[in-house]
Amino acid sequence: MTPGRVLLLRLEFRLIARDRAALLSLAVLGLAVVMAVLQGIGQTERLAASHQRQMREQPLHLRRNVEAHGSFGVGNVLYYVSFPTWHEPGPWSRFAFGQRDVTPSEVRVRLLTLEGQLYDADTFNTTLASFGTFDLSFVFAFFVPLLIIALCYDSVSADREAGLWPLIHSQPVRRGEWLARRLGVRFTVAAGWTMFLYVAGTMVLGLLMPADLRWWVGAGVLVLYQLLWFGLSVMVVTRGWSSTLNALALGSLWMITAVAGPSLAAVSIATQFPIPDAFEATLRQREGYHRMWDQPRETTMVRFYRSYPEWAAMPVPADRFSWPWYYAMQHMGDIDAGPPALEFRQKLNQRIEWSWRAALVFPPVYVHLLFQRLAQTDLRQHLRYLDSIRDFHERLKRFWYAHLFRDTPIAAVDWTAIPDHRLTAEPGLPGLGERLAPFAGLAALALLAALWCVKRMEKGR
Amino acid sequence: MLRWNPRLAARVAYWEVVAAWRDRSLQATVAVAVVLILASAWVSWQSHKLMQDQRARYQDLVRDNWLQQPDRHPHRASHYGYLAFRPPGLLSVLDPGVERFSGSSLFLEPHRQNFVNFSEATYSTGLLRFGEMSPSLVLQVLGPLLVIFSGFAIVTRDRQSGTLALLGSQGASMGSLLLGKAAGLCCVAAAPLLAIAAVVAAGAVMAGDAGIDAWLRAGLYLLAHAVYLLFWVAATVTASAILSGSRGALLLLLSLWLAMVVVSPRFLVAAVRESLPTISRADLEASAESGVMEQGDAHAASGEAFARMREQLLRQYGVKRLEDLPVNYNGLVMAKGEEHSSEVFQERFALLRDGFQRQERVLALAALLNPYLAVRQLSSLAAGSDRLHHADFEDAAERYRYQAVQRLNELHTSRIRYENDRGQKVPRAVWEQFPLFVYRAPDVSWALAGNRLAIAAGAVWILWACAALLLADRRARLTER
Repeated sequence: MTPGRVLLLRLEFRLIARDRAALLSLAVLGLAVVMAVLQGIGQTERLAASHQRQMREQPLHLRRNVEAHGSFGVGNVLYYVSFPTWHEPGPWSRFAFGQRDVTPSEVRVRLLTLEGQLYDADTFNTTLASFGTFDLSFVFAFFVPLLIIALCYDSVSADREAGLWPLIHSQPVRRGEWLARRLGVRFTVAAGWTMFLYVAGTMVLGLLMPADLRWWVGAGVLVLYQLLWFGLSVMVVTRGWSSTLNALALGSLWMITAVAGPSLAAVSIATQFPIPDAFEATLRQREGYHRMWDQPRETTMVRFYRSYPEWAAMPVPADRFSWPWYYAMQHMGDIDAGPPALEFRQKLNQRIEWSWRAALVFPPVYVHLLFQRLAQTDLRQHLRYLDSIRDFHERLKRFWYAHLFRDTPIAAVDWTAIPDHRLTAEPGLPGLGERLAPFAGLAALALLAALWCVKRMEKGR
Repeated sequence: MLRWNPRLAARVAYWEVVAAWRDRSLQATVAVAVVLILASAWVSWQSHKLMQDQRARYQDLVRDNWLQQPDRHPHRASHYGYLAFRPPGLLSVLDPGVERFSGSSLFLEPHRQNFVNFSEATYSTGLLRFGEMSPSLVLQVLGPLLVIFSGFAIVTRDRQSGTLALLGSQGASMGSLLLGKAAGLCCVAAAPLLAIAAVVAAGAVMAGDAGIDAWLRAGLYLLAHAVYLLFWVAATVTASAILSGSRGALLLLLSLWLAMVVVSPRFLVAAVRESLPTISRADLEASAESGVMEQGDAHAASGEAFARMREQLLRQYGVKRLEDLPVNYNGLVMAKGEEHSSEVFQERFALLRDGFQRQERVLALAALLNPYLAVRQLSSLAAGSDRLHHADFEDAAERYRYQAVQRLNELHTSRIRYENDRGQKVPRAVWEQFPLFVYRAPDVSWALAGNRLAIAAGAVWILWACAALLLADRRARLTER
């Protein structure tokens, strides 16, 4: 590189250093990252602390209930006790908290009908939730485009408005080279700062692990996202509009893709895929269980033995109340609620699918969804948690049915042998690969269009 | 102070409106805003109707199921329970507030107070966190942008063309000029408000008899947004008057918008979450369990309170055995236990709500410095879709639950004999004696009484708007240099 070119580059950097708006936006992004990091740590820590309290309390909970209700047998105690489940937030939830603030993380289940317990909501302040979360994923998705816009919007028009245009283009420098240098420097500053913040932020959150594929995918997504917005910005600023018009156009583009569009899509998807099935399942499990009280005990047991033939050899008294019969009736609720529960699940999957589709038009949303998938804090992951609760409930049932049908005396129950809830992490980065390709394509498209715009400007006047 | 020349101000305002009327790009912007308002009202209405129909249908179904119960033991019916569905408020079409974040159905059963389940937010993808399209979002988020886009050059333009200097040299007072400009800009900002008014009128026709309260609420809603947009008009005229160029004014205003509408609210909410955490559900339930156990549980009436009650009853009726009592002791135990447990739960829920209120108080105070927070509060309050309104539904459902359960306990006490208690039933005709669960939202005066700070914040923003214009009057420049 000739000394002249180095000098020109240094002057380009100096131009940015004198631009107050540019410096301000760099500072704001830095501040937002600090805040997001603090919030990311706090939120996951609160969840973990609550879980630890639960685990400490659980033996006490069991003992208390055995003392108070044990005289009527194991079945009676089981009506009262609940067993903890835990949706452990992975380390990356500090980066993208996703849906974790509005989905429950520690659903407790009893041996009763599961469908009546599975959807129990957590307590959260709805006012705060309606404002949205403030984690690193949000900061990057929302503010990075603004930084790029702030650095680029007047990169071409400022010189023209200052009357420097004829002067610059009377120099023996190709216009394309001048343009590439100017835009390249702007992008380097924006991307450099953003990637520095990514490295610093993930380091503080304890996520900076070069061997971790996640970290690299996160970085890659961020780079693609910036290229996308850079491409869009270049397409606008090379049109020869005034700085004001550029700012208006790019600002509106951000407005539409980050606020107006997603909010419209959110309502449309919710309306398009309503979930009355949730109510249906709730009502059916209630009917399914309670109506068995009014029917011969045998009816319940025949249906029950169909699900659990291993107990068919252990009949229950037909003329009086017995605990196996009671819990068999609870099982009836789940059988009856099965179809609407399945329907509910399918609707949610459709919602997920359509959100990804809609997000292709709204890059900030797409990136947000990508980060949530990366961190496994999205709705899809919550559904996995629900599945793990189902599985846990099933194991609990099998464990306790043995005690109920054999009528184990309360003193003979081994309370330490109760099954544990398990939610194993999915290996690798599930469900991410197929979502990355369209996004990369989008970024490439924007870059190509930008390149074409630069070429056109080079030829033009 | 402002030197006030009403005729000049009116004249300037008139010409601003004429100029706006002729401005092609401004026409387009206003048209987009109005179309957005109408479109958002439409999707909001669709979604409202869907929710309302769904919940009404299931509320009816729950009632039918209740009535169709066969002869049952009262306590059996008590455990069968009831489901209360929260009907979405009519005005949540204008501002959905926390509608999608609050749960929608509540299971009412004896011995415990449940949480409202099935919040839309829990079962939605991340999309919803970017906002929810509604007339409020258009007015609160995009409204300021409309004002900024149409007004950032309102003074700078005249200064650049030299008109301002000319006017000044002829003795026109800056104050009147700015007031006129502001008035003209207000007319532009009024367009979306008028669209909302049209939506309200159309809604009133479609909804039939909405009632006086709905009108009052709609009025309050419009007023809150008028004040909000007034502030943005004042800010825009001020920025345009103080700063030297159009570009500088636009950048300052856009930064202000970003800070107030996008950055600081989320920032603040994050800080509030960190500094004022609230109790988790699991903790609350654990605490309620130990509370109920301390007092003695209805199904294991071994506590001291029950022993005392038994002694007293036996003495009162002068009998030796519970079987000889003229009333069913078990029913009385149930009633006593219900009293205890609901007290315990009420206490815990109140604690949780106090925590929420402490968090919201910070937001309410911040609303004195941020008009977006102020209008958000006022608007969801007016629309009856804020957390307090939804908490009122929970209270109503809890009252219904308590009364219904105690009524069943009464039946248990008076219509079921102590011997072979569980083997007896009450005839199904009694189910009809239980009232329907119908939720009526509180009226606007209730809402206003609970939110003095929000109203104060609304009023403060008129003062802030005036202050901005005064500043503009003092610091305005007539010429470019």
